[in-house]
Amino acid sequence: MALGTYGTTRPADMSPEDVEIILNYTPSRDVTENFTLKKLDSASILTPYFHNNQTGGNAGVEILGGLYNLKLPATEFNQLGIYTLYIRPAEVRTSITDCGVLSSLPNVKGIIIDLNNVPQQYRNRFTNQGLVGFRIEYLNSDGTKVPNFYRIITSSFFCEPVVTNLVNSSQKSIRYRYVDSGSDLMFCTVSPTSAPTNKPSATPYIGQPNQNIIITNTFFNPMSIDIQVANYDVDTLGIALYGNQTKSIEDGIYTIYDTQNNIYKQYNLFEVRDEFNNLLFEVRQDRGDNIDFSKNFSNVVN
Amino acid sequence: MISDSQYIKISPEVLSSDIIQETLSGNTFGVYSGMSEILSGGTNGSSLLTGLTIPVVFTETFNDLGYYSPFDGLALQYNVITNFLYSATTANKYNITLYNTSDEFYGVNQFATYQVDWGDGSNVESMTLSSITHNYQQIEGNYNIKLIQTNPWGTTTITKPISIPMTGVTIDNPEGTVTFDSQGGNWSGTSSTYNFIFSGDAENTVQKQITSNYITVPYIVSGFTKSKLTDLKTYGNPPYDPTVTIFKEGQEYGRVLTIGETYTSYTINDVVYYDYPNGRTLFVLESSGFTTNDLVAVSLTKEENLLDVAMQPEIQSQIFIERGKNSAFEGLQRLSEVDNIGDLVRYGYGFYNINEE
Repeated sequence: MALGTYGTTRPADMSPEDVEIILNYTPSRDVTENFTLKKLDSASILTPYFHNNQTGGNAGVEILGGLYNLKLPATEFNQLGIYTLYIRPAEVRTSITDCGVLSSLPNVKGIIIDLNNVPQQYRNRFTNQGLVGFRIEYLNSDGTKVPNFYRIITSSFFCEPVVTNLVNSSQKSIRYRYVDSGSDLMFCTVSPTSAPTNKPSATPYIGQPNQNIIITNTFFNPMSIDIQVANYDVDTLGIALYGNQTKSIEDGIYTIYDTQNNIYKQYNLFEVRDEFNNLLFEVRQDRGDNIDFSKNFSNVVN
Repeated sequence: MISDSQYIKISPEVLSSDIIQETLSGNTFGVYSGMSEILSGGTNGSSLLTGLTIPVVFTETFNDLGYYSPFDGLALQYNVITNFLYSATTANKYNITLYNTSDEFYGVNQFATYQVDWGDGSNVESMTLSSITHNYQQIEGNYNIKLIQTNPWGTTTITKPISIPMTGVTIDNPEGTVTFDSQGGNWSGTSSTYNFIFSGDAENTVQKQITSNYITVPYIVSGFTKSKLTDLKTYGNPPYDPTVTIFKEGQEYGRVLTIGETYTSYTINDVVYYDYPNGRTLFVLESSGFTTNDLVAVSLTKEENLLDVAMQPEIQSQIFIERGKNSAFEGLQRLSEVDNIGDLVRYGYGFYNINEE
């Protein structure tokens, strides 16, 4: 019987810079090829909500957590159709400088990352223990990604190489030791690195020098948002069905109003007859932008 | 990590900018534009939308990163626990003496037995003393000397190569110190030295970890207790002297502050006590945050193969203790004096039958 339970889902409070937003647009659902993906600037369109005096936190300072505002830039959302936003943790692309062990604890294996190979905007994440929980994914030499394979960083510390004399010449003489600062090298232990006790020779793969890797934070769960920009939806149909309507007998203008009596649609109603005055068609024609403002609801009913 | 997905539909009635206000005959009303007109009604066909935003919720599914268990102290490589040196003399370069240095650091080897395999096809020898000598019979070659340690926790073998005849060996760092240049940062290019001799690098003591930047939490803790005034009693007269500070075990213990008719006050271990004539004793002290006394250095090791696994500690032993003969003269308190198997054997007087398997 458990002593208690705990939840494993928390509202995320990551920085917008830790987010990557990828946009896909398609004019309709039946487009099956030529997908065009575009990366949006998360720092400018994603904004966290902050506490105010009503929500109990430090107003304007303390992040509310979980709730963010996503601005849809007009330059991108400018057509009818379906926009898919794929929101995922930002990826840091770099390479493994070396794989090594600590000089004082040779059984502690890890990868060494040179901060000079890290994009400038992400270097502030590379601090002592700043990468704990980040995920490493690996790229093959041909640029393809090693599928279904990743490692989790369990510690990260600045380090510097030291020269070690070893009895066994097959071992590397360059090892690493931690330093507090003043180094561009970061020693990251990953999990797993130890061989299972039932097969001690099966040392887990953690990468190799010069291999390109992708380091990703795990601050939030990836999500997708389908945004459909459309002319009509259920509420629109509700207006058409249940909203106020007027029909001008004199000029045949048929007007539909929303719940606030705003003019939603206007149509011309007329009949088409032949030369013998036989009725051929009854027509309802959308007036489009040519709205007859005199048919506003107040003007009609008052 | 789980993923989430949302669907949002944006059509004219959810956009306030879609309704254009018009006034006619004193009536003000709104008129809808179609979504297509909104998206292309601006200058050069640009969108009229300017502030389209949607709220989104992000969650994080977290997992404990690992399973940590404390262990009881020094972390040593096995080839430090078990190790040996060898040497030859100038006079006889085929006569190799092996020195067992396994017991240098820890007492865990006290149950260990040792064997030496000289690597030349000769019989494996038991090693009972701290050194043992072997003659390679003038046969030149490269051999591997093995020191085989067997103890209740398993067998550990350390192998070192040797070239016979053994001549002088160049020792790069006779003092066990290496010098290197830092590779980057402010110390780049600056030479530093590193003491390579193993001197307990893994030593992890409280003194190495403490900091004095503690935060005092300023609130008063008080209550009633029993008088401890007699703890400050000194020999001779007067028995309680406000000018005398009492020390215990070399540490300042307390001092009488005032002796009066209404109360007697004194301090013990920074706690102020007030003894009143009615027999009650009031104590007063200020709270504090973490102090050095609250810090206990516990080394952590991670069992990676036990990620996400929590289990109770399990003690595995191949030593079986069988209840031996009862003796009315055997005091049970003797058990508290026995803290290892060796003591149990030596001081058990046959009270227990011990089999090692």
